[in-house]
Amino acid sequence: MKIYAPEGSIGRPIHGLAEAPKPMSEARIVGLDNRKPGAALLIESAAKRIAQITGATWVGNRSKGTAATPVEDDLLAEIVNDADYVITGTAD
Amino acid sequence: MECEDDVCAMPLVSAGVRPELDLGTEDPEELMALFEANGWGDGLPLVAPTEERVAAMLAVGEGEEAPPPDEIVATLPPRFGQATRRLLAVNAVLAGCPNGVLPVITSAVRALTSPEINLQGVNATTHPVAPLLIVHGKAVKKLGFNSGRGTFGPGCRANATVGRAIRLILLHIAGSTVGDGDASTQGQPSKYSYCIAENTEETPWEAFPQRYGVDAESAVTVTCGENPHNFHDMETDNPEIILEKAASVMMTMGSNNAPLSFAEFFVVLGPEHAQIMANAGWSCADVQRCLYEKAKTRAGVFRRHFQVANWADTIREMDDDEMMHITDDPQNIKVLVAGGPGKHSCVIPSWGMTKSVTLPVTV
Repeated sequence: MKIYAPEGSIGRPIHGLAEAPKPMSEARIVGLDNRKPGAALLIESAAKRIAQITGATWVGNRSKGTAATPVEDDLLAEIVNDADYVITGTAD
Repeated sequence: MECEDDVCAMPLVSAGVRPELDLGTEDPEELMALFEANGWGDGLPLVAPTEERVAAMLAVGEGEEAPPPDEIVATLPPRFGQATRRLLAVNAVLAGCPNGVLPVITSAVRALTSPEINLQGVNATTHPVAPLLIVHGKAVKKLGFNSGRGTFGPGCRANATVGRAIRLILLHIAGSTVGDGDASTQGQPSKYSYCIAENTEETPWEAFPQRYGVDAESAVTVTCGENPHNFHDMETDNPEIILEKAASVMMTMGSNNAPLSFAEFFVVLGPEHAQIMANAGWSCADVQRCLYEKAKTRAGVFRRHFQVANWADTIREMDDDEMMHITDDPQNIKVLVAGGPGKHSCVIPSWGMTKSVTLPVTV
């Protein structure tokens, strides 16, 4: 007589866990001005306030070319190198 | 960049399993010896999963809506075994399930893989947590589940074997075997089998799935928690007095829920207790709010017990003498009716880092 084994095949998890973020006190924050009117001031103020509350470091603002285009590749690479968190705006 | 977690790259169909294990006879002792030698089973006698029995289990249920038997229903941690309907049927046969219950088991396994359940943690923790299945609606009578007297206890094949099938699936496919995949310090009896049914006929309120947006004729809820903690009140027709007893059970400092302000409780009311509340004009939401208000104590008491706790920031800022709720939202207290005559009800504290899930069942 033949019967089934109960275990079956091994797969792999569909979702892995993301790497845990650093504590905010060790984080670097960059503001990304999307070039909408007033955005730079708003983003910088928000970034500085978050840095003040959490102990993070505000690195400074960066600006992309225009509001209507994606961030440029070289600027993206610079931000990845300089920051753990980015504060930016979308639309208006 | 190719994402390694891209679900599009995942196989939809398992290589499949075939009846390839040799068993000389259908002698139960021989089957037990074979399973013990392979580290399988739950220690109780098993039914041989022959090709005929598994085919019969697969044949009854979802009808034309049933997916192919080797399509992967879920991948179950910590072993990440691929659960197909055929493999679920194999384990249902092993557990002694009657034909027809496979759709309940399949929906329950899908529920177990919902992120809210946190199955990896449920299976691997030192806490004794076990998944409780609650069957709702038309499936209860059609498949022979007991929603009445002794619903948590022995004597009903559907309750006993469907709960057991889920445990065998977790042991065999998920790999939650004691030591390797299950670090449970003591375990608990509900790790053998844990399945009840909602007593809709004696529920004075809307049925449980409909209250949570599952508008199906049949459904199954999975919640991962401790064994039931009984409370009884045979003396009063005052809902508040009865629920004070329930709240006192919820307030145990030994529960995994105490240090987690978002943790969930199931309060399973016996029909007589539920009727007392309905007779007083109470809705189910009134019961939840009352339990929320009564299940609290001084914040200093919680702090004395727990140095490490996952509480909301507002709680951390409380003075020692301020009253702190055991859970931060009445919606974390799920109420339903099950059981038969008598004035007993129970509280089921969850494992804490898990939320219940209700899914439809096609029968």
